Formats: sequence, structure tokens, C-alpha cells
Amino acid sequence: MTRFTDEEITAWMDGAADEKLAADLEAAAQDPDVAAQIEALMVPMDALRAGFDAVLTTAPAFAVPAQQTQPARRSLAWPMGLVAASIASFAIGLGVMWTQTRPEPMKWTQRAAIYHALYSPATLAGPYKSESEAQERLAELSAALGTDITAFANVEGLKYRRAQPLHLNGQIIVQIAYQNAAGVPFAICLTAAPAMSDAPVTQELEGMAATLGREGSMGFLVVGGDDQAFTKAVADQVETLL
Amino acid sequence: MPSLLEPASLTNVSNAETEIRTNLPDLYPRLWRFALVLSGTRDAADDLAQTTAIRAMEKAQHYTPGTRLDSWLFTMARRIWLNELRARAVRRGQGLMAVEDIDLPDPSPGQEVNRMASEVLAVVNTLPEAQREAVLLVYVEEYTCAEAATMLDVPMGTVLSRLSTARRKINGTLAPKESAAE
Repeated sequence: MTRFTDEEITAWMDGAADEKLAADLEAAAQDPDVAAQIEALMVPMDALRAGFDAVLTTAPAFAVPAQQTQPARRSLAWPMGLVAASIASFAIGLGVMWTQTRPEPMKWTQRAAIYHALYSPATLAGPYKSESEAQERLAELSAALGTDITAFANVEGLKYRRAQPLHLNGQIIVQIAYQNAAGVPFAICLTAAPAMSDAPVTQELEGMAATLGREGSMGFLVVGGDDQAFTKAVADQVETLL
Repeated sequence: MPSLLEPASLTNVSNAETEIRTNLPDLYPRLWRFALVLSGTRDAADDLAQTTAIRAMEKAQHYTPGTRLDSWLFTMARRIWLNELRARAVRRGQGLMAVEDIDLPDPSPGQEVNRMASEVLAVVNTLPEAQREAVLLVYVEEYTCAEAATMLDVPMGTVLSRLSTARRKINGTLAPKESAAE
């Protein structure tokens, strides 16, 4: 009697067997040994799919952020400009032309705000960390950031939810996520950013209120909700906590 | 490869971005579930799914409109997980998710499928990452073994090996209770 590997039987069960293998297996399926091997590879597929379908219902929602009108789209908006430039300076080559039309690098604060714009209350659903867990987590991130940020477990007007390291161009950005009493997600993002202005700037960023600035060598961004006075007040706290 | 100077290619980029933005909300739960299977924890799945969604919009020029957006997203998520986020998640001590952390609907009398579903999920959660993702892609997302092999960047024999090992493990744990298997 022909013996079959588990992989061959799996291929047959999953519709991936070629005609010869399928014919051989169907001919041998009555053999007690082969039948036992097939039996040992059976899986309750309905239950498996039902289980994963149930997981699907617990997934967070996703809101597509507003389409940007940044230079990233400029080179696409004027294709004829690109054509003219290529004709005029063909000898210079496509590489140079592309360099000329390449978008400006996006600031870290905008990248962080785009990321935060995807947060909904469901993103930060519990179970929530205790204060000691929050401090422990922030102590880990303090080491990575090179600045003690454990005090950020307690920010007036906000409840700490979680903190994580992000990376942009090889540089760490610590994102600390909070919610206000109404559940609105906020984030305080910190990174070494000596190029930033000392004076805090409050503005709209990706459709949210945001205040950004620098304290010492540490750049910060407070973002979330639509109340710029609130992000400014939180930013004032950030300056004292750093 | 189409020239950057061809208006048609520029139109394709615009179409690709529009298609991605239009379909992402509907596909996001499946993307998040795949992220959960890869990462094993909800926090890491949130990060991975969000990072993938943002990256997909940024990299729209690499997507061909009208093709399988779901498999393109899954492949991107997997690449981000392996190249960027997994090491970080391991450092953070985010291991395999305990089955009680999965918010399955509470089974009630008569809901046999929910009880069995919970048990099957519990077994799947104990499988190695490579087997979990193969099980999800082929048995839940219903990609063919060949499609899964392409997405996972492995030979089809490797996919079959992972699936057969997973089948043995699931069957070995559930066999005495299972009634309608396939």
C-alpha cells in the first residue's frame, strides 16, 4: 500500500493536490492506515472560522485621515509640468528632475499627528494600567529616550493609557497616549529635537488641536481633541515635567 | 516598469490611493485580525494595523488598482511586523496572547459552535507564529496554498508542512470532542 506524507494528505484536503496524488489518495482512502492518518489531520473548520469571525467583531474601527494637500501630491498634480521640465533639461536626467520635485521631508510632529489621528476611544479601550505599571513602562522608555519621563504617568486633565517607542529616521519618538474624561484620545510625543523653537506654538494639526515646542533638548508635541487652549495647558505641564 | 512621465501612471497612482482610502475602513478589521495573529497581543496588533494602514496610503504608488488590496495589505503588514515591530514587541515582553484575552461572545446553551470555536482558538493560539499565519490565510481568509506561499514568500511545500503540523496539533487536542471535521 502506498504511504502518504501528512503534507500530501493536507494538500489533498486543501485542494492543492495534483490529479495523480488526488487519484492515489482516493484509491487508498479505504485502507485503515491511510484512513486513520486522514482522520488525524481533520480539523473542525466551521468552529475555526466561527472563532476567527468572533475575533473580527472585536477589531477597532479605522477612520481614514483627511487627504493631505502637502507637497507629496504636488508632483502628481501637475504632470505636464514634469513633462516640460524633462524636455527642457533632458540631458540633466530623470534623477535630477525627480530630486527637484521631491516633496519636502515631513516634520516629525506632523508624522506623529497623522499617527495619532487614527486613534479612537476604542483604540485605548481597557484594561488600563495601574500607576505603578505606567511608571515602570515610562522608566523603560526614559532609558531609551535619555530623559526621565516617569512623571508623565500623571498629567492633570488626562488619564494615562499606554506608552510606546516609535522611530523616525532612526530617532526615537516616545508616544504617551491618554484619554480625557470624555474618552477623547490625546498624545504627548517626545523626541530629541534641537531644531525646534523654544516658544510653544499652538495650531491645528491633522484636524486636531496641537501644541508643540521644545524644553531643553527635548522636543514635544501635545495633540488631540479640538480645544487648543487645553493642549496649550497640557504643554505648560509638559515644560514643568521635563 | 512604467515611466514617471506617463500621465497614465500618474492616474494609476491617484486611482490606487483612492481605492486604498475607499476600501481601508472595510478591510481594516481583517487587517487587524491578521495583525493579531502575527503579534499575539491587542496592543501590538493595534500598532501594526495602524502602521500598515498609514504605510499603505504613503506607498499607494506600489499598489496596482483593481488587484487584491487585501493580500497587498497583509503582505505589507507582515513585512512591517518582521522588519520593524516584532523585535520591539519581544523587548516589551509581549508574548503570545492568552485565550481569555480574546473577546469571544459568551457561549450559551445551544451555541455549540461558540464553545468549540473558543477551544479551537485556544489551540491555534498555542501554535508557532508561522503556523498561525498559515492557518489564518488558508483556512479563514481562504487564500489558496499557492497564494499563501506567495504572500509568505516561502515554497508551497513549506505552507503545506505548516498546515499539516497545525492540523495534527489541533486535531490531537480536539479529536475526542469533534464531530463534524473536514
